[in-house]
Amino acid sequence: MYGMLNEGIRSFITDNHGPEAWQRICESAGLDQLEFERMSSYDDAITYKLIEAICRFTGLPLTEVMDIFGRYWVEFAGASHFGNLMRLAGNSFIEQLKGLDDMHDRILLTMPHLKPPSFEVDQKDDGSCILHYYSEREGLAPMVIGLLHGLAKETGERIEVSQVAVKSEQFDHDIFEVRILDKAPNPTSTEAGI
Amino acid sequence: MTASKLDLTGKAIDMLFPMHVVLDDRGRIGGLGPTLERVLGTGVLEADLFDVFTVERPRNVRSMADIRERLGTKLVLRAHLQDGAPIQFRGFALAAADEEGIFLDLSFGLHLSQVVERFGLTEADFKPNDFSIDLFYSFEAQRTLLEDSQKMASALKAAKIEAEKKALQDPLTEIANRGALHRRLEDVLHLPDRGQMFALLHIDLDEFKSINDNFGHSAGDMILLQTAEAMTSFCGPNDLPARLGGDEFALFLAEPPDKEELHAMALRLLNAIAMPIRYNGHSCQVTASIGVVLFHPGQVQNADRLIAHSDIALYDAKTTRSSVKLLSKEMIRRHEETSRLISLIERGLKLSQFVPYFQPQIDSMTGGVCGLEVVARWQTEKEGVLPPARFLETATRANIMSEIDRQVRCKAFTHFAEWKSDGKDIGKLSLNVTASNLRSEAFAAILQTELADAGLTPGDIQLELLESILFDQSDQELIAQCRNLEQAGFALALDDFGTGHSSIATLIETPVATLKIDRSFVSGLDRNPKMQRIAGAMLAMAQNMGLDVLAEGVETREELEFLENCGCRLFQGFYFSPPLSAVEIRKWLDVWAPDLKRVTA
Repeated sequence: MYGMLNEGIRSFITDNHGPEAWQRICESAGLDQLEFERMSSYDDAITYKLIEAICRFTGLPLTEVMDIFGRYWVEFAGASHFGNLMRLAGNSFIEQLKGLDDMHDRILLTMPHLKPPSFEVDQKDDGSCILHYYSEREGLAPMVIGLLHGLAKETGERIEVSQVAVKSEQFDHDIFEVRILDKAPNPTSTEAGI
Repeated sequence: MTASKLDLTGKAIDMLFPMHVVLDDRGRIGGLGPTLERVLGTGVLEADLFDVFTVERPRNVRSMADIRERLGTKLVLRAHLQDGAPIQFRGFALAAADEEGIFLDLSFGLHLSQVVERFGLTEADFKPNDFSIDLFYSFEAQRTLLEDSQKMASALKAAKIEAEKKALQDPLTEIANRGALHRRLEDVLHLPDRGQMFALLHIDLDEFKSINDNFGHSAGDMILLQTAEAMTSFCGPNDLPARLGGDEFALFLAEPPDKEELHAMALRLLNAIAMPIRYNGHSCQVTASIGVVLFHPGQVQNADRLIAHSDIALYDAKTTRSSVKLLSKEMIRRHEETSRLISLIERGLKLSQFVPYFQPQIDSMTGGVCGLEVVARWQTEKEGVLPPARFLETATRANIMSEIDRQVRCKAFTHFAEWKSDGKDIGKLSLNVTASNLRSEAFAAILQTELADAGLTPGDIQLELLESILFDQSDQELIAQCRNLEQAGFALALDDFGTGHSSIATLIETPVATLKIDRSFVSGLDRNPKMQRIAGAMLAMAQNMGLDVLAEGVETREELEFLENCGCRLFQGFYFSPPLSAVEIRKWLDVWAPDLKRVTA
């Protein structure tokens, strides 16, 4: 995992609970470092240990912590230089969702050790979509739900997400059904360009 | 003409799309752009597209029909070459003019840098308006920046670790410093109390200063290093030896043995510290004392308190010369009592409760007062007037004796000046001088300022030096200071003569004008022939050396007369008067008359 994600976790905790809480969480996770370099690659185990320590610290279940962090992650990454890459994909929730793989491809050019997830979108006629989420990593599906809500919040939309298939030994990815409840206002600039 | 009417030549197509793939209706590769041909080789011509490429995204694109469904959308493909790593491409598919074939326009994806290097591609291999080659330059610059950044980050990290290490390490001995010990003790004190015991040994080297003075600081450093090594050799993996500063050390033991074995271990540690070292051909050696505290988590509030407790045990070890002392409740009680007394003394100083008492010195030849010796008294609210025995030791240990001296001295000067201006013939004012007074370069100047403020001069003052503090003949510093004082006009007397074991040679070196024979040679003198012979010899010696002699502690007429008969003419003692307050001595002076001198007794 790149340090960017661990930095996101650090920022999430220090923003909400203060630096002392972060120090306690790192101690609880058995880490001797309190900061991460965003462009350096770290063992995935560090991230999992941190999340487990946050669960112990907050007393919240893992799925809830992951969901909350997913929402925060969009805000955190969006505020970084990578936020520009996200915005390149478009202005609506669906456009940004469809652009996530391209964004990861672009980031891969400079962060070659990244093992990004893949998000494949099948749009349905009723405006909803089916999201296929592929990842080499285990157990991050709850974070995706938070991430989708965070993404929708960024574009000013409201969504409903339900997981319709779970990754297993027989099935290689998770599937979510996303219903758009409130659409974003149509961006006039793209319309004018067509 | 519009673009739809354009019929581009093959050369133009190769130039505009150097990485194109032409597929026939069955999906076989019919043609390649020149750059792609260089990368894939001509061997792929006529091969099926899916034998050469895998479509990574969208997933599940595995046939020409799947591609036809996605004309104009972005494709991510991967070419599997027979030699070397696979190459990723991005592109899109268009229907060929005959509507049967497919035209794929590709560009390099993720592996752009590797491919440029691997196949030696140049700008000419990219279409003129393709910025991919620009990215290549950017990546190279970025790679350099990243390498520098990582190098810098590693250096900073190493510096941070080193700085943290140094912040917790004593630079000379490289064992932990006070801060590190403090941190460890705080951790231990905050552990849950499960009945486990820990120990803190507080170690102080005895007379360490003399090593520095006699052999130099390098020798002192060697002793400190040896002490640290000795402590480390007694440490287990969880113990911590630390230097607290100067010649003060501490050893934290995480799993101390029982009290008896701990005491034995501390003694072994002292032996190790006391091993002599060779320095410049000399043998240097120090002894040490250890105060020990056994404690459990939560026993005291914080590390400072714990170190203070170990210091109490250390102090007890030093004062009782017992080498090793384990802290007891009695020691803490005594310490608290001392602390309370220090507070009271400090309060007394603020309230100006320290006053001079005066004891007259009599010249029996004239019957007149030849001097007044100043002694300090503490006028307390609850216990009345207290003698120095009640505060001297504690005040000296708390480093406040010099302030008491100053308070007493200034008051004495004021009174003495008043009595002089009243016309009283009272000789000199005698003041006791300590070793630290003498070693202080500022002492003479302070004294002169105080005298000037009171309207007195050094000629009004006799300084009484304790024989025991003086007098090591080799202490040239003290002897030089005595000469300075004498030259400034002060008279010097040697107090308690006969008790300090100084050599006679000291009397030659030091500019002393008067010897004060200690009371132990005077009391009962008239009934003890041996004492009479000693006193007689002392007086004879003094007379031969041209020194005045003053006998202290004269309490009876018989003592006085015997000493007078031996040639002594200056006296001080209860026979004439005990020390009196300023008011009382003023009255005494009024009634004292030479012809009444023996009547008053």
